[in-house]
Amino acid sequence: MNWLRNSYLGQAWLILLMAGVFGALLAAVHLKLSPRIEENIRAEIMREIPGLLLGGDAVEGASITSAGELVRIEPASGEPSVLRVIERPSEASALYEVSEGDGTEEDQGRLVGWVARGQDHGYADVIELLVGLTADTSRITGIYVLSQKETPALGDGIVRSDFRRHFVGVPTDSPLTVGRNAAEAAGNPYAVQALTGATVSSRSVCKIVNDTVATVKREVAEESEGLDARP
Amino acid sequence: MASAPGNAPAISQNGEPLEPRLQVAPGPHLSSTGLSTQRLMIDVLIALVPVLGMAFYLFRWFALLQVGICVVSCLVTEAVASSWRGSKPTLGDASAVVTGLILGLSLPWSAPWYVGVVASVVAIGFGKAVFGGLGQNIFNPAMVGRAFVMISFASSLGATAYVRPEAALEILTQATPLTAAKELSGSVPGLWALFVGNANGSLGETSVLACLVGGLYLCLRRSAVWQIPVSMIASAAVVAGIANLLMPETPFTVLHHLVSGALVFAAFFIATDPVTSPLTTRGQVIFGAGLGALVVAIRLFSNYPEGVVFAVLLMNAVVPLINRVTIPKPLGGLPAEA
Amino acid sequence: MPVREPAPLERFLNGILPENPVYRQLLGLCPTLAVTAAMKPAMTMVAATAFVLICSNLITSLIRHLLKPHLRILVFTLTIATFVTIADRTLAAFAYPMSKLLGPYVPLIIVNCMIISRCEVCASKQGPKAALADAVGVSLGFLLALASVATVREILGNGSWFGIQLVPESFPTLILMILPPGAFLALGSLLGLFTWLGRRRKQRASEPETESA
Repeated sequence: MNWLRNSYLGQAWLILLMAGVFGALLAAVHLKLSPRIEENIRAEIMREIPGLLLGGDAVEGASITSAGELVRIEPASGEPSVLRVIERPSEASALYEVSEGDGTEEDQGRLVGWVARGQDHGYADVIELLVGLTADTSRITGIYVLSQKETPALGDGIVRSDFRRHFVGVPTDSPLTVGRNAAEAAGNPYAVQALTGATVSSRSVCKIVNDTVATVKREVAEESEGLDARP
Repeated sequence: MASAPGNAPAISQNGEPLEPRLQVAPGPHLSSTGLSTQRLMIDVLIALVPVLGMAFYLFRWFALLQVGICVVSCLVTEAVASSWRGSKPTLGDASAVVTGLILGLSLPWSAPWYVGVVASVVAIGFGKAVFGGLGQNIFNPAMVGRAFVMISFASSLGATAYVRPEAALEILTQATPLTAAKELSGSVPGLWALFVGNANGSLGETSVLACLVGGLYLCLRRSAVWQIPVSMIASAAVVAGIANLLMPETPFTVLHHLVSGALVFAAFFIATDPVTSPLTTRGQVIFGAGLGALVVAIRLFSNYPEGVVFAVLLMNAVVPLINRVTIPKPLGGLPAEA
Repeated sequence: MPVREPAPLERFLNGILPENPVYRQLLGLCPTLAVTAAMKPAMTMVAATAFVLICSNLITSLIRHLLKPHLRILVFTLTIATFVTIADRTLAAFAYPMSKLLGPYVPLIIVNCMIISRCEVCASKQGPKAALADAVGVSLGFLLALASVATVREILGNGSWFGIQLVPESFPTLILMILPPGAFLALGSLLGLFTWLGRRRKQRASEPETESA
């Protein structure tokens, strides 16, 4: 019996058993909860799309509800409007084509813009962004941070609106760069002022935006070429 | 036992040495009753008179009100803190008055009353009392209080707080020179105006002339060491000079760097605080040089127009290290290991 | 020689004040500093930590006779990590905004030494009843600590408590208190206060004896 007790199995059977049991437990939790978590993230994306494309002021105080592909915006005053969000296959994590319409089947609506989900490494962990583009993909309409684990009080400043504001309305014909201070960023529409003490996080955000914008531009251009070529 | 018989000490029967007896005690053996904390602090108060006068001339009653609030709050906090700690009252050494004065002079004229009160409570309470009172604190108390309110009340102490377009006094309608330099907007006042103090800014920092007069008095009285301000201003000039060589188009020259902002005020009145500056002369030079370089570096590279507060706090933090590496070799001590 | 099994009630009460994890043992300081800018995230953190602590204390206590001394830390970490992951996923599923707000701090419960210290000191040596009482007591102590720090910081820094505005929005607040330095100032001051209170209570308790003596 002594050889069994001193073998690896004899020493580690409890840990192996626990690892198995806990693994099964986690798998069950994941199976049970992940649809709900995905739904939460999707609801968040839907909620942010109007603000990203129409501008933060346009949806200020409005109640935004989503059902399926349709996002309903009810401003504090004025007519409610409906956006149709269709997910397109893309090399980016996700690409949404957003058009304005009353939500009926036959109404194709006017194309409002594109929202893409992109991700890359930040300072700490993966940063996930939503990037909004105009219908002709010539300008960025806004960015939103879906998830980040940057350094608290430094890098996590990327979620603040005063940082994200730098990206609004920037033309997409040239990649964005990071300027260290206001003086460097002033006068250059492609320069984003870095967060104090978080240059790496700021650069990561810029890189994700550049990559995502490039992907979306290429894919949208390819698609419209395909449409034009069609007889 | 080859000792000469004449040198043998006189030994009594029971082995005790006889008179005369040599008393051996560690130095220092000379002490001056004149050199007290109180005298030092009163010297600082005298040296601050020209600065205070200039602040009163420029900002009128705003200056006296702001400084008064800070001094009174500092004294009250000091009294409460010393009674809590159960130590004997420490109001008499006038250090709280000095902290209050320097704090008040480092605030803008426009800051609301509670800014001065909060800054004073933090300065004496968290800057000094929690460390065990005067002499135990690591950081300059006034700068601790200034940093606290600077971050807490950003709108009352930011660059825009200094400027009041509707103000009756003309200089208050202009941006501070450092803000003008930072944002490349507005005009930078002339060197002479900056030197005399005809510019916007915190109460005590505007007039380099007044700071120099007070500072020279302090140094001549030996109440402050001259090495710290001299090395601080020199290193600021060097760093600003390098920056100018790299960016020659800026209108903000080396001299502008030296005469604007709180550099000279800090060099004579804040950096020379004997508690939070190094003990050795070599250390004091290193301390001053680090301060000057940091001040200009923060001005150039950070989002803040002025860097004195953070530079002083940062250098305060490394003072124990500076002290350690600059321990002087005693006479006849072993040479340092190569 | 059997060690006297401590009464569950004694373990429970000890965890709250006499052996308060934060104010007495200085454990679990990372969440105490990091998520106490407001009451809501602080209380969510307490709930998640309490869940992990109670579950892992119970499991450790149940398998305490099977533990091998050189492998016990591995078992503790495995148990804690499992329950932290469950807590993290549950938050993301049912309290998504709060889970986003807490960010990395929920996964970081794994390295909260308060939990592993309870497994090591208490649960691996005592029965499930005592271990459970201990976990609940320590959780309450943790609650007391985080609630006190978060109360000070949220009221001073934001003028609100649990998100309810206490003073008008225009009222100046000490923004520094909801920034990281404010956490250190608040924790330091409260630590001093609790130490002072504890010392005074001890003095009070010893005074009558000295008088009668």
